[in-house]
Amino acid sequence: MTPLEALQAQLADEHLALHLYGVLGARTSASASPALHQALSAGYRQHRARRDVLRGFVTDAGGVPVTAEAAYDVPATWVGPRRIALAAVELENAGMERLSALVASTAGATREWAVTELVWSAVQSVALGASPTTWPGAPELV
Amino acid sequence: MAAAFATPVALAACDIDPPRDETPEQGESDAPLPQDDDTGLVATVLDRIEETRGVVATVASAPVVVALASRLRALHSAQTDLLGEALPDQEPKAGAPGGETTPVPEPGPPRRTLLAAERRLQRELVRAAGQASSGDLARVLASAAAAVAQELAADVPGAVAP
Repeated sequence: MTPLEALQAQLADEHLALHLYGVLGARTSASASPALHQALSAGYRQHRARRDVLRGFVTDAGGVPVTAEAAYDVPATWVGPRRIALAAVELENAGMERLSALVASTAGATREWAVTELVWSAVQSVALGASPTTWPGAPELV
Repeated sequence: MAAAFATPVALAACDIDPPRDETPEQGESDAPLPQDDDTGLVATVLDRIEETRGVVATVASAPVVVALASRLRALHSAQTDLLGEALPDQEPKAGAPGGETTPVPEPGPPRRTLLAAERRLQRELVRAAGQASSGDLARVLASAAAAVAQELAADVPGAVAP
């Protein structure tokens, strides 16, 4: 996988993450589940910023940024605070694996950015109720 | 949806091109073997982890940090084991048999001392990940930094209840 391919894959992932965070946030009550709503709002903002940064990285690498899909399938069973938090954790876990691959396939400023984002997602997963792991983003190392 | 979550696994397993030359043969090893340029970097990181383990050992008995310190000791042990594999010829340090470390005295309340040491380690791991010549090693170091960050985050109240 070339660095550009890794960037494009990450960007496609961010399009999905942004959509899912929006749906999950819309299904969460800010008054009934304030901590979850706050975590989802933070996630939405972070992934939106990531998408924008990645578009720049792809362009700088000579590529045309991939666009979002017309629609994403969001399971109807993702309702209720516990299931929504779990879905967001799964989203961040998948994102961490993608980011760790991006760390491995890039260098310089792009890698430094990916490391920072990996750390952010690791903390975000804990904020969403996940337990810490020994190798976030690299589960095969356990 | 399921496919969206499944793709990172395939990505992680694919042949990732390190950003610089000296690419090892695919399938040669799963360990984050450092390229020659990275040997000193790994040694520096291991030294930093040992220093941090020393701080953890110093404050570990304080009730306010006993649980966190226990988790961090296990984490640092795993990190040392994996990174140590990257330096197979390295002799164990004198005075540190069985992973025990020499406590590094630091003034201040135990919790503050512990958090400061762990944050220093996290910064060092992030810096090292950015500098590694090997992409695979960078990935390991980035994950190690993320793990430290997770432990510190888990020690702060306010997370969504599982």
